[in-house]
Order: sequence, then structure tokens, then C-alpha cells
Amino acid sequence: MTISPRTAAIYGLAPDRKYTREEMRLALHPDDRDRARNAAKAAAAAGTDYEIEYRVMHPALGLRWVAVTGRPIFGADGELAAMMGVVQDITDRKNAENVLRTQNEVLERHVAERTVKLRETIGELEAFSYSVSHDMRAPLRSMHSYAELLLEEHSASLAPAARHYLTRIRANAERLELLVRDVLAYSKVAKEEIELKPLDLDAFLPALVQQMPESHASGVTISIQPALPRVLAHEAYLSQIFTNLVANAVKFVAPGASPLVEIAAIRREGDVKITVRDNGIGIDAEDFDRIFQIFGRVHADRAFEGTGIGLAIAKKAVQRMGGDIGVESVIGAGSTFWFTLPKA
Amino acid sequence: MNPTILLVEDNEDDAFFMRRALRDAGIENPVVHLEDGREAIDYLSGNGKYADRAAFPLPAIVFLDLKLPIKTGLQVLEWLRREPSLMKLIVIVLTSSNEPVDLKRAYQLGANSYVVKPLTGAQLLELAAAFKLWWLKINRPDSGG
Repeated sequence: MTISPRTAAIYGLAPDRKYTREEMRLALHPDDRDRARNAAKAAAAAGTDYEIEYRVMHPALGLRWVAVTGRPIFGADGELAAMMGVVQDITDRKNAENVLRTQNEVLERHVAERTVKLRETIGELEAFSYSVSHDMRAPLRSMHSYAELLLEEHSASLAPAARHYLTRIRANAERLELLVRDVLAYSKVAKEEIELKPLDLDAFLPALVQQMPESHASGVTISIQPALPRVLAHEAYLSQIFTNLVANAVKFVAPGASPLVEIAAIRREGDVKITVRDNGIGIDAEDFDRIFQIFGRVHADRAFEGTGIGLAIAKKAVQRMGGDIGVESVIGAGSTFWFTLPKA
Repeated sequence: MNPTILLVEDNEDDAFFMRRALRDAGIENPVVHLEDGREAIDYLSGNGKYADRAAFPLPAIVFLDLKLPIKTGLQVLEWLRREPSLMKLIVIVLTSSNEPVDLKRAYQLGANSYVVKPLTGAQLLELAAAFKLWWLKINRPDSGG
């Protein structure tokens, strides 16, 4: 067979002579010889062009990568007359690809290492919150119980001031317990993996409200708009959000006022907007952001009981479900908390 | 003779308040208190000093804390459910852990009930009274061999 000067240069063969098929075959890397022959045979049988990449053993330069485009040539009688091929040196490209592959492997290894570290950190955080729930609560319970015991069984022998101090110890232990509970609820909402499912608010909300202690308190009215739309939500989170919003709506009212809470929802372009409206004391516009932060209380502890984490939990839960949360309010004229959820 | 209640609890304060609550709820059953999982296993299998069943009777009901020294409550539970003589023993997990993973595991291993330790004395007394009504009065255990 005849080869072009360029092909001869790529293979490292003398340009001025003819070569047998076997000589050409032996120029290839032993591992690539069968593959090259099979590709040529298949193309000849099918009468189609073929492309292949293989290595040739250049006597001076060592292994070189080449790309070959081959074509079977048929004579007038329809028999295979010859094979014609174009040979290109692609060693530089192959080397670049190898560098890239090595870099990718290094990168993947880095990512894998980082992921392992991140998992460890998450595991440590989980262990921490586990220990908060378990180990820190035990001494708290004991302090509370001993204070209670003194108040119940030794009250007669205590001075009024001592009794008062004990009631403060007990009240603070109860408060710390609530704080631990809410901090755990917050960290849980922040890290848990959840799945959003279609949920019919029309069936879900009345049942939920019925379970809230607030709905059975005297003087409290909670109304739910009929024919609510369906949403995509994680049920436990949605319960938590409504529970926190309704509890706030009932709690933050002027002394002596009867709480009135209205829950409604409208279907919008891409989502559903849910509103919880109250007739409470209202919120100053400059506090709108702060109330959603953890411990973002805007009232003295004394005035309204609570840990200051409820709205932060609600906000995190809404965000985890892909929605947004906010409030519209005027001091003295009630508040409307709203949040959005994806449509079902 | 009232059957024995076994209380496995390493926290002496929790044990103190639990025993008080059981007493205040009018429960007259003898209560045996052990402080770690190894002791619980020794007691239940009648090992060593616990060999005398007249002095150390098998309990009818076990209150089992989860976070125990040496052997955890879950390890004790796993062990006793494999013991033919203890398979039917009523085990009530009494823990401060409200973690779903503990709850799930405890039931998987065959706990009969899972109770989170309440904060206040009044709640603990309520728990003891409910325990008395349900497990000592209403519930029919399989006490046959």
C-alpha cells in the first residue's frame, strides 16, 4: 500500500516505499491491532466510512495517538478494490485529555473528601442536638422537681420570700424547658430532609384547628374560609406553621379583647398565598423583619409568654417548602401574617 | 403478692421522683431499682448475687431508661427479647429522648410502650396513675410460661 509523506512522518516510516498490510499492522501498538483490523473489516463489509483512534509505535518519538478516517473503495464490479484512509496525529489532544482527566479525578477526590467532612460536621451537629435533648434536660427536670417538692411539702416551714424564690426557680426551669424544646424544633426544621406532597387545605385545616387548645378557649373565634386550594407541602411543617401563627394571633391581643382569627388562602399565578389575620395589638413596621429572627421578641417576657422562636421556626419551615413569609400590620389594628406555598 | 416492678435508671434524681410518683399513685408493688444495663441483664437472668429468685423475683414490668452506663437500654431490650423466658416481659421505655430514631428503634426491638419523661411532678404523677390503671389493672399480661 502507498502512504503519504505526512502519514509516513506520523508513523515514523520511510516515505518512499510501499508497505504491506502486515507491515502497517505491526506499526500499531499490539493492544490496538485487532481493534483497528476489525473496524476496517466491518466498514468494508458494510460499505461505509469508519473512524478510529489508535496508537502507533513511532521509532523515534515513542507512542503517538492517531485518528484515522477510512473508506472502502469498490471497483466497477462492486468488489472491494482498496481502502483509503486519512491519518491525523492527535497525540497533543490525547495528552490534553489525559491532563484534564487527571485534574477531574483530583477534583472529584477533593469533592468526595469535602463531602465526607461535611457529613461528619452534620453528624456532630446531630449528636449535639441529641445531647441537648437528652443530657441537658435531665438536670433541668431534677431542678424543677426539687423546687416543686420543697413548695409542696415544706411550704409551711418556709419564709414567704423563700417560697417566692422557689416559685421563680420553678418558673425559670419551665421556661428553659420550653426554650430547649423550641431550639430543637428549629434545628430540626433547618436540617431535616423533607418531601412535598399535594395537600388539600380544605380537609387539613379544620381538623388541625380543631386540635389546637386555642380553638376551645373561651372568647376565641377562629374562622376558616371555605373552598381552600390544594398546595404542595410537608404536612408536619404546615401544622407547625399554622400552630405557631394561630397561637401568636390569639396571644397578642389587648387585655380583655376577644381574639378573632381568620384563615384564608388564594390561588395565584404560580403559588398559593395563605393569610392568618387577627384583631390583635399589631406590630410596628420597623419590627417586621426582627420578629422572624430567632429570639426576635419585641415585647418584654412579662407581657406575653413565649420563647421568641415560634416565628423563626415558621419562617424556616416555609422556606424549606419553597415559599416566603411576611406580615402586614398596623399598631392597634391587628396583623395579617401571610406565607406562600407551591400549588398542587 | 404484687408483682415486682423493675426500674432501670442511672439518674438518681429521676429514680427518686419516679419511685415517689409510683408511691403517690398508690402503687404498692415492690420496686427494684438498678442503675445500669449490665445490672439489669444480671438481675433478669438471675446471675451471681441475683440467683435467689425469692429475694430477687423476676419483675412483671420493666421501666427502662435508654441512656444507661455499660449496656444501653436498647441493648438490654435487644437481649431480653431473645431470651425465651423474658420475651413476653412488659417493657416500658422511660427516657428523656424525644428523638424519632430512638422511638423507632425501641419499638423495633420490642418495647411495649415508649414514654418521654415529663418535666413536672404533676405530670409524672399523672403518668404513674395512668400506668397503674392501664398496666396493673386493665391490661391482661401473658404470664403463662
